[in-house]
Amino acid sequence: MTVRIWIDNEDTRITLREGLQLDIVLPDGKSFNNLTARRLFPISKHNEYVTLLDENGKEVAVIRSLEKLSRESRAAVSQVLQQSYFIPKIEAITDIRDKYGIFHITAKTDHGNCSFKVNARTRSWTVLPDRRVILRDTNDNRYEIPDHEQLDRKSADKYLF
Amino acid sequence: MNLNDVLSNRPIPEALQEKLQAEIGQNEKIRFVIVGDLTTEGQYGDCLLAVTESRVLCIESGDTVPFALPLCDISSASVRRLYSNAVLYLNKKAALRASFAVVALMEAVAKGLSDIGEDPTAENLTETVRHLIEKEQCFCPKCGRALIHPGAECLNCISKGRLIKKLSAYLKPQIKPILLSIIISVITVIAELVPPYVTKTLVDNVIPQKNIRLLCGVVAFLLAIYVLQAVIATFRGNLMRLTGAKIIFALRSDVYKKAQYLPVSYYDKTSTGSIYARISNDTNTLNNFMLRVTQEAIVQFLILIGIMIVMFCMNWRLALLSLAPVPVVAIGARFFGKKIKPVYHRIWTRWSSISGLLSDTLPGIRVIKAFAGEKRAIEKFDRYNNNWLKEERRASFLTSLFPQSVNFFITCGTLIIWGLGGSWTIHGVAGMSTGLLVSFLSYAAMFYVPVNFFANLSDSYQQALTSAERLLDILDAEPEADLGKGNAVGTFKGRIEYKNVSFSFDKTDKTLQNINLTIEPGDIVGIVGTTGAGKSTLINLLMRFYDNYEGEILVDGQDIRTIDMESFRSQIGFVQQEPLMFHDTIFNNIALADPDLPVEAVIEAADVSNAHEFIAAMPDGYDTVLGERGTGLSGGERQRISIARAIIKNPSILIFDEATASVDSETEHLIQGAIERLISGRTTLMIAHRLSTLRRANKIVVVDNGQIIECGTPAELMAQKGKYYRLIEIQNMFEEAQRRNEDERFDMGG
Repeated sequence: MTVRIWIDNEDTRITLREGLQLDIVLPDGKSFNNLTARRLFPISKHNEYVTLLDENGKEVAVIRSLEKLSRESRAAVSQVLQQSYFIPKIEAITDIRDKYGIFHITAKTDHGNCSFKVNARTRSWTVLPDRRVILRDTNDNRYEIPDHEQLDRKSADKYLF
Repeated sequence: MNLNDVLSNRPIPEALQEKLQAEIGQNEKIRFVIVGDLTTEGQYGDCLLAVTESRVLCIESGDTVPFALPLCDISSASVRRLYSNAVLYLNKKAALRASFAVVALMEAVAKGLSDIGEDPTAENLTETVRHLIEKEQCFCPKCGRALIHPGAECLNCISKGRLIKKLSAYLKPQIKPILLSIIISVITVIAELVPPYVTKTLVDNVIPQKNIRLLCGVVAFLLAIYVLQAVIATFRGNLMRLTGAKIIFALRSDVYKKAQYLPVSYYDKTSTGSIYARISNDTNTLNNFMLRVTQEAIVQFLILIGIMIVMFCMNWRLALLSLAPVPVVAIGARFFGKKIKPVYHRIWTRWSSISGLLSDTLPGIRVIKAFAGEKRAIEKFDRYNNNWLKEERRASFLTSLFPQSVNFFITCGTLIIWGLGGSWTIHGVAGMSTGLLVSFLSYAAMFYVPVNFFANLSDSYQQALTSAERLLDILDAEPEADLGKGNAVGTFKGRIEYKNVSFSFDKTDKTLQNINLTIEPGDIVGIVGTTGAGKSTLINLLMRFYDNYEGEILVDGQDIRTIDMESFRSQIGFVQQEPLMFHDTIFNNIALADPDLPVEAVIEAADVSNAHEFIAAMPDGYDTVLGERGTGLSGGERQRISIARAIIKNPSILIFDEATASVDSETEHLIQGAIERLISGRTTLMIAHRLSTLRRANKIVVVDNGQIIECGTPAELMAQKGKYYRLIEIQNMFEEAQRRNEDERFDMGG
């Protein structure tokens, strides 16, 4: 088993290249190119434990926390993650209708207004202990309600999670 | 150019139509348009990719400058699936971004554009896109659900009349006892309406006249009425309880039956705990509601009507006064129903989570104990239980407040009768007498009982509604598609072909990509590859656990989706890594396919699978009842029973999915012996991590990342020195090291 490279210092240089890929240079001078960043905990830890994979999907290194990177490196990784992960945060549910076991939802999100369908039969949502709700629509897109108890009263009355 | 006639996955938004018209040349013909839902900056917004005969155009809402590229200049086109969105890159530049709703189309376009050299005017690509759009639009116009094939009847909408129609189907077989009950109810109501009227005679005539003989006669008459009431109520109660039980029996049976025919994909997404909750709790809730309706609601309704008639006949003014609280109660019941419904939904969800946790943790109690996880399990259970309690508290408050409010308004109604009725009696208005007032008050008290009953019924109704919806979730769910029903097959020769098969569990990633494989009858095929490579998925598709794949799988030249499911599966023997045993005798566990099999056939099968010896050594032999999930047997013993199960089916095709992965070397040897006896002359597919188990294979298929990367005889693959060669090398090194370790331990012991 190879020893995992942990990145948790400002000396590692991470730069962005075309196609949401990253190049890294470790403090010992070793470098890796064309890496893909993927969150190991996309739901619970947004800025921690980001794995860097090479073109064959093999892990090269893991960033412990974006906070520990230099400002430039952090910006590069953040940009890739921000572009790769699309989990709109639902601010208000403007309409929800149950049509034969499919919830047709219209919502206001931090990425704009959208409409999507959620399978009520398979209860395609997860309520996390911190009151966050992760919804998965019929196309496998994810949406997040940051705190289901903080939704406005009208939205809260409409949803059934 | 009229853009409404252009081939597109959805109507082109007006704002983009203008931009597209401005970009397009006068004689330029648009082949197709893919409309997306995200901007390249990751905001919701309209965007499109238009392919014309000569170029690609990407346009999005806002101020972004359109991007155009001649088809002949495209050097690379690819789609990168990200998290909940995907990006189409043309010549390494992000051209279109969209959510997973259009990812399949984007991939088809990317593939077509990367091969554009062979299709310079994108004619073939247009046909592919047309086909995909038609497939994606293959949905029910009524409910919007995907159909099995274009033009298929929507399984969700067949004879749908929703709740009442669905449930009334269960009442129909019990119509005779229900009608009998209604007739008896009429007699009960008459019997209940008589005593207050007799009271009026007692107060106004019998007592003032001091007529003892008449008094005795009236009392005896009342006694007879009460006896009649008791006898009828007992008979009716028994009749209706039995009827209710029969209705629920049929419903529960149907839910379980349906659960057996639901596709594996349904269970991938629904916890078994929630299904337990539906079959046990929800049917009980519905049962209680049915009992209330059939036993009480009919009587209460008839009483309500009967009393109203009597009251209006006695004194219409007082009758109208007594109706005063009814509208308030009716509006209150409606308001209460709206408030309590979501609470009951949430209680159900919380309870379903508890059931899921129970069905997860109790069978795994050994693991919990082994990892000293009792406290954590208790904490988790308490958290779920608390969530339930929180919702239950809300329900408790609402369900306590409402009946008391109803009682209060009803009491107000009685006070109105006392106040106005009393005043009219004192002043002799409207022919009022003391007897009439007392009798009227008795009727009013009786009248408010059904009013109260119906007001409070909304609580049970909302609970039952939630339960009924959950049950219909299962009853209405689409069963396993069996398009070839009736097209039974005899014995297969065993030729299997995978033709351009691609499959994805969800839209995040493709599990299998463009699989092409031919297996000849009698071939013994070893499927190898690293964990997660797609080996088991390859088998799951052949077993028809999932039918929604692209391409075709043929057995003896027939598309397996067109063969009768039962007949097809009866031809396949399947041995899994962790064979599931049922809480039944060993005999019945072996004879799972047909419990009427001759005893000797079962013993023979057990013998071939090297299981007979250990079964015979058990005190109860083949009658040994196994614990839940086969507790009481070792992993190797369970595996040998599952092989006996496969043998007894006499299948044409055999599948072994890591059959020896979790047993020791000695047991593996025993199982291997059983397998070798079983596979002779049958087409066999074997997934194995231990490559030593594949020594009889004449063909090896190496799967990696959802694709077949190597295929050939073991000798050919060893000569290729590819992935299979490396796997063999690694395994040999590992076995050598293990042998050395064992030798060292033996030396030390010696």
